[in-house]
Amino acid sequence: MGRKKGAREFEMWYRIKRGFEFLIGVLLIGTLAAIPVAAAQTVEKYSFVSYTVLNPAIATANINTSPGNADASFLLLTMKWGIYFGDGGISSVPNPDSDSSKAFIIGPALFYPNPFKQSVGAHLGYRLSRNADVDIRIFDMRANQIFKTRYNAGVAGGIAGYNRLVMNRQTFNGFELSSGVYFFILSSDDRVIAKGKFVVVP
Amino acid sequence: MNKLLIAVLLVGLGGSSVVATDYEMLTDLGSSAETIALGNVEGLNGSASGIFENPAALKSVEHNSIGLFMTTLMDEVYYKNISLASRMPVGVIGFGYSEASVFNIPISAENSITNEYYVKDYFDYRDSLMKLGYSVELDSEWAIGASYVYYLRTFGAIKATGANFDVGVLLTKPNYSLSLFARNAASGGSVNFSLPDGTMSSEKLPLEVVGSGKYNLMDGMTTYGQVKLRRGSPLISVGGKFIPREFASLELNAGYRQYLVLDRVKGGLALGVSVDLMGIKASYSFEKIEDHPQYDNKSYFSVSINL
Repeated sequence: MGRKKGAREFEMWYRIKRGFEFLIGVLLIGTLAAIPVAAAQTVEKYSFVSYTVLNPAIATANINTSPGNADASFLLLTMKWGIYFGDGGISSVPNPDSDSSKAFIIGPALFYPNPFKQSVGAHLGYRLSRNADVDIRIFDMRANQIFKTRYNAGVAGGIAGYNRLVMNRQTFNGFELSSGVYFFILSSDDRVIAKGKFVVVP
Repeated sequence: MNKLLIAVLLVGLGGSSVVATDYEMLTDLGSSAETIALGNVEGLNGSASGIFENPAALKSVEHNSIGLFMTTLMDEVYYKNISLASRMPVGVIGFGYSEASVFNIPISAENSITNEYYVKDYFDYRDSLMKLGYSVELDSEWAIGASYVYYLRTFGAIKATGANFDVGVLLTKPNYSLSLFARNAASGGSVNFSLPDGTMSSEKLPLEVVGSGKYNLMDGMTTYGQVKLRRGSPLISVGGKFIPREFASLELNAGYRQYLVLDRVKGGLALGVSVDLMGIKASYSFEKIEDHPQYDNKSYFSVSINL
């Protein structure tokens, strides 16, 4: 009888001990897991540039024409010092190189409206510095490429100046995208010249 | 037991009609680095993260288990999940939370003078799901399980919610295991979106029927296979696990999986490694990203603690 009671007590203490160890483990792992996540989010928050800038003078002109951009003065100040802080939300490709013979994007490349219903459609707008072949790729949230096409130099999408491309269901061969965030990348001559993201709602 | 298997299949196949658009499932990525490395063969997970797969697999939890998983894709999408499971006198109860976040998405507007677009504001996107599951052993070999799933997505002024449930069965033999489960088993389930203009919209929760198995080929080597039915397409996954005799705490994993990208079936390889020390298993896995000019791989990390 006494032995049984002793065994029960032992089992009870053993279970309490295991439970305590489990809680400690949860706290420890939770803390360890939170560190890289917090670090990653901090890096994202203060990530490198929002605006594609190769020629700051042109970019300055472009930013000044954008009403409602409260960060413009700060951005101009930081551009003068060659430091480009932003919150990474829009075109985020800093000076790809200094070869002015190559095309670059002036200002942000944006979907409008954003978010949008695919049944209604949206436009992708960007200002190209010169005529150039432009490749557009779109990725979903799992980094799967869902769209890729080339706009040749001199035609819509590859014209010097402001380009406005229709993006709707026909763009994706009639397939209706699931709601969610999608990421686009514009490249020319194998250089990324702009990138951004948009949201589709059902 | 055969009736049970048929019932699971019928529940699953009952709503397998093709729809134009499905709700994007967080679980498509994989529940842990180890699972992804094994070709995302689901339902045979021996830890708490099994809650994201076949709820019957929770039966493998001996006492308590916790699972953590995280990855960042393209420096933009932050995935993480946490799962807890504990054995009770009546069975194993598990809880799981999974989330994908994207920050600083621009709200655009059009300049009335230049007709060019500019950034008016920003918003964040958060897609999450919560699962509460239960598994019970019918005998030493058979287990059944079910889990309730709650979906929540918020971005800007838009909020979307929905609910469904998963059901599954697991057979465990000394040399092999078989799993069968249906995800979003209630056909016709959807996620409803409240849009800023006051209107409602919805997306269908896609039904998946997943049959998988593992077989101990020889000492230290296990093979995995799976067929997943999604939108009427059978998607194949295979995987292999190798435990070197000299390093019993080390696991080398490799796998191949098929997945849907829009309406196309694509495939990809994965590699991974796990280290299991006294019930704490840390895993890493790796997949390639196709045709991305800036990122060429996806890296996944997970930890599971089994006490």
